[in-house]
Amino acid sequence: MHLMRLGRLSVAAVPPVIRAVDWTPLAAASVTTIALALLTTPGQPIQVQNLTVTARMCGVLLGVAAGFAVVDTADEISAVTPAPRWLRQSIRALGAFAVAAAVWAVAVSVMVARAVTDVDLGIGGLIVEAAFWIITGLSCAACAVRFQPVRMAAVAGAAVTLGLAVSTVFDRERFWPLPQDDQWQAAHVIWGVGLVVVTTVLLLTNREVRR
Amino acid sequence: MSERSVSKRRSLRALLMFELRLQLRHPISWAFVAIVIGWRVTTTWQWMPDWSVEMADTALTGLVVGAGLMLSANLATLRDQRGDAGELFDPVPIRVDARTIATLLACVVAGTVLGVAVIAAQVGSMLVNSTPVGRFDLAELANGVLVTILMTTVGVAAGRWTPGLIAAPIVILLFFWAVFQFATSWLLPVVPRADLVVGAPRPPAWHALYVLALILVFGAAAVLRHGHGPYRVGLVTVGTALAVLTATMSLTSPEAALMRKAIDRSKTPTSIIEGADHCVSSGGVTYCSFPSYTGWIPLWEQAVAPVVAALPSEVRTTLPTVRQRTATGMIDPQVLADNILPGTTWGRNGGEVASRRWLAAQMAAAATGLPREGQYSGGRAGCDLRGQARAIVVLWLIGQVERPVLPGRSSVYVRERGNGAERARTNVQSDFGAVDYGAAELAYAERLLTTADAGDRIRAGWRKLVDPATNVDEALPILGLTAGSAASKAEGTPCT
Amino acid sequence: MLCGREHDTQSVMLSKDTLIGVASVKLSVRVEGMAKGYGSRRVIEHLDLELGVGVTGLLGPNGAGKTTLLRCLATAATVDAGRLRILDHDPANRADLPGIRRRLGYLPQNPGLYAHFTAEQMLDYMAILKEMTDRTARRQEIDRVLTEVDLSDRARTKIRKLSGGMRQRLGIAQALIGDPPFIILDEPTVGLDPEQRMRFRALVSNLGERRIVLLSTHQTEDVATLCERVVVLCAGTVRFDGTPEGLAREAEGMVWLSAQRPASTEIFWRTSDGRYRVVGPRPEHAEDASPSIEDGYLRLLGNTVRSGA
Repeated sequence: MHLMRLGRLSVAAVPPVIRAVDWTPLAAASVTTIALALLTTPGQPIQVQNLTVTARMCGVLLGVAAGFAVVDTADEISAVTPAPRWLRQSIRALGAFAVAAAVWAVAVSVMVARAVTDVDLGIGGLIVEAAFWIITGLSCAACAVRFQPVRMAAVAGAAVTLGLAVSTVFDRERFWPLPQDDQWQAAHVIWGVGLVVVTTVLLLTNREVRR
Repeated sequence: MSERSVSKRRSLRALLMFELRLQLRHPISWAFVAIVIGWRVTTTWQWMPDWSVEMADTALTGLVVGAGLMLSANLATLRDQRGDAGELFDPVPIRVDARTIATLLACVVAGTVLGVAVIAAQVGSMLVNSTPVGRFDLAELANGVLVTILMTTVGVAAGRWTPGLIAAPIVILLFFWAVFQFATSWLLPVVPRADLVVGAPRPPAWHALYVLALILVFGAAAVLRHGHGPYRVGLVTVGTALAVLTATMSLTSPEAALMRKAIDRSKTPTSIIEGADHCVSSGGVTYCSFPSYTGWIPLWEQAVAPVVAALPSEVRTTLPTVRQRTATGMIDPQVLADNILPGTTWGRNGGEVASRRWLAAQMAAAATGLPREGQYSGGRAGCDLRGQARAIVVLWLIGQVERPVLPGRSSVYVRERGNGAERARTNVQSDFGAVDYGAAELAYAERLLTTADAGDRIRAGWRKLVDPATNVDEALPILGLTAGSAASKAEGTPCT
Repeated sequence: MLCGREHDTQSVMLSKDTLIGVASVKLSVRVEGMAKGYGSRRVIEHLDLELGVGVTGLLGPNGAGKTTLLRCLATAATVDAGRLRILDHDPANRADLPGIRRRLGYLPQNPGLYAHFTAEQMLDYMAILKEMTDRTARRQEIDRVLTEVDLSDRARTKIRKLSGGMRQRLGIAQALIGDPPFIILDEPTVGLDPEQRMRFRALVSNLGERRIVLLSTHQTEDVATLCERVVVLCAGTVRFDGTPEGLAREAEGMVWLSAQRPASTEIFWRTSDGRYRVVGPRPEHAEDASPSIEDGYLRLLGNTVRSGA
C-alpha cells in the first residue's frame, strides 16, 4: 500500500478503532491496580519486598486485562477491507499497552512516594517485568484471536498468561528476586530476553489471518 | 415427597452430573493441574522431602489449581448470560437458582477431585526413593484441597455478582497478592511456609474449619443473587458467624502464640545451629540434627564414614562434629571451625550424589587442614590448591564416597570501591567453597582411586602429604604414581 | 457452466478519494478447480464457477460449502487447491488483496457489529477501513447507504438498541459502502419482515444491473424473484447451475397433489388446503402440480422429508 495512503488511513483509523475497543476489563483492572497500590502496607513506609509484590501482580493483572483489547468482534467484515489487519490490531495493542503502562506507572509512583528511601527499589527491573507481562497478555490474546475473534479468545489468552505467571511462583528465587538479591541481574536478563520474544510474537500475530 | 419435588431433585441431579462432566474435562483446569504437577515434581524430584516444609508448599499449590478451577467455574456460571442465551433459558422449567446450585455443587466436587489428585500426585512423587523427615500433617494437605474448593466457589459467586469475564482473573490476582503480601497472616485461606525458624508453628485445625466456613459464605452468596429467601440469608449469616468464630479460634490458639514468639525471635539474630541438639555418635564422629531431621543422620553417616575409615587413626580423634544448620542466622567462626554444617536439604533421585560428595568433601577438608565451605583462606576470592599434594589426597578421600569433580565457575560483575566501575570476576565454587584446583590434581586422584594400595601409601605418608608446602612432584613417589599431566600452578592465592 | 455476462467498465467511481483508476476492469469472478477443507474434513471438492454481472443465487443444504465458498471469494479464507480470479486479480497473491478488497462488499452471516457503536459510527468505521479518508466524502457515502437501506432515521441509534431486522439492514449497508462492483451477501434476508424483504429485493435487483452480486440464501422465493441464475451446491460440488426456471424444471413431471398421505419414502408435506404435495414418483390418485424452485431443489438433492402441516 502506498505510504501516503497508509499514513492517511492510519490517522483516520485511530479514533474509531480506539472507540471499538472494549475498555471495561482494562478499566476494572486499573481500578484494582490503584487500589492495591494504596492498600500496600497502609500507614507505614512500604518495604521493598511489599512494593515488588504489588508491582509484579499489577503487571500481570494489567497484561491479562489488556488482552481483551485485541478482540475485534467485527473481524468478519473488517478483515476483508483494504485496511491491513496489522494496522487495526497494532492500534488496539498500542492503545491498550499505553493505558496499561500508564496505570502501572501511576500505581508504582504512588508506592515509591511512600517507600523506604535508603534501599534500591529496583524500579528499572520492575519496569522490564511489567512490560513483559503486559505484552504477554496482549500476545496470548492475539494468538487466540487469530483462531476465533470472540471475547472467549481473550479468556483463553488470560488463562495462558495467568498459567505462565503462576508457574514462575514455584521458582521465586530465579524469576522474582528482590533488588538486593544476587540473582537480580541474571533474572532480568531472562525477563529482557522474554520481552523480546513476546514482542516478536505479538508482531507476528497481528499479521493477516487467512485460513 | 411430592411428585413435583421428586422431579425437581432428579432434574437437579442430572444437571449436576452434566456440569460435573464439563468441569472435570475443562482444558483450563487441566492446564493448571499439569502446571502444578509438572513444576512441583520437577523442582522436588531431586530433593528429599521435609514434610514440615513440603506440607505447606503442597497446600499452597491448591491456590494454583484453584486459579484454573476458578476460571472454569466462572465461565460455566457466565454461560447462560452470553449472547442471546438468556432468552434461550428464560422459559425453561429449571430456574436460574437451580442452575447456580448445580454449577456450584459440580464445581465443589470437581475441585475436591482435582485438588486431591494433585496433592496425591505431589506426595506420591516425593515418596519415590526418599527418606522423608519432618511432620506429615494431613490437616495441612486438607487445607490445600479446601483452598481449591474455596476458589472455585468464589468463581461461581463472582460469575453471578459481577458478570464480566475479567472478574475471575482479578480475583485470582487478589488471592495471590494477599498470600504474598500478608504471608504470616492466619486469616489467609492458605498460609505459606514461614522461614523464620526450623519447624515454625502451623495453623491449627480451626483454620481448616475457617476455610470451610468461607466456602459456605461464598457458596450461599452465589445463590443469594437470585433472591433473599430466609434459607439463603440464614446460610450466609451462619457461614459468616462460623468464619468469624473459627478465625478467632485460630488467632487465639496456642499455635498462634508460638508463631508470634517465633516472629519476635526471628527479629533477634540466632545462631544457625541453635536447636540442632539431637546427637548420635558413630565411628568416631558425632552427628547432630534438628529434632525433626533425625531420619537423615544415617544418610550423613553413609557420606562421612568411608572418608573417616580411610584416614590415619590418629586423625580420626580430632574430627569436627557434623551439625545441622539453618539457611539463615548468625555464623560464629568458632562454630565453623568446630562443625561441619549440612543444611536442611538433601538430594535424592540423582541429587544425593552432590549432597554426599559435598559432605564427604567437608570431612576430607577438615581432616587435611583445608578451608571448608564458609571458611575463606586468601580472602573472599578464595584460594587455589593447584600444585599442592594435599589436593590429590583430599580428592582421593572424596572418591571414597562419590567421584570427585572439577570446580564450577561463574562470571559476576562487581562494582569497584572508589570509582564505582563494574568489572567481571570469575567466581569459583567447589565442594569446599571458594577453593580452586585443576584437572591435573583430579587426574592423579582418579588414578589413585584405581590403585589397590593407595590407602596404605596415603596413611603412611600422611604428614608429608597434607603439608601445604609439599607439592605434587614431591608427592608422586610417596603415592607410587608416575608423572602424568603437566603439574599445574596456582592461578590465585595458594591455600595455606 | 458459463452463465452471466462479462462486463467491461472504464472506471468504477467509489468516491473522490478512492477512484480506482481508468483502466478497464473486467467484472467477472472465476473459480477453477477449487478445493477447500478444514483439517481432515473436505468441504469443497473441485468446484468450477464463473460469475458475471447480475444476481446469482447460491442454494444448498447446511454443510454444502456455501459459506466456505463465500469466505474464499471474499478473501477471508484461502483455497487449498485451484485458482480464483476476482475482478482480474488473484487473491492468492498478497499484493493483489488490497485491490480486490477495495472493490468488494461482504455481508457474512455474523457481521459482529459493535453493539456500543451507533449505526453511523459503524458505517464511518467501515468507510475508513475502505480507505475513505476524506470526511466529507465519507459523510455523503454514509448518508447514501443509510438511505438505500432505509435507516436514515436511525443513524444515531446505538446498535444494541436496533431490532434484528435493522441490524441486518445495517449489515447490508456496510457492504454497500464504496459502491463496490462485487457484492457477497450471506443469508441477507434473515430477520427481515416481508416489507423489508421486498425493499431488499428491489435494492439487490438494482445493484445487479451493474454489479456482480452473489447471494447465499435458504429462501427460495428470494431466488425466484431476484436471481437470473442459481447455483446449487451439495457436498462441496455444483449440482446445478442455471436459471431458476431450469431448477424448477428439474422436478417436471415429479410433483403431485394427493388427498392421501403418501408412503413414508416420498418427499411430501401437507399444504394449507389439507392435501399433500409430493415430490417423486406419482402416488395413487394424485394430481399433477406445477413444479416450483423448491421442488426442483428437493428433487435434485433427493432428501427425504417428514413433515406435517
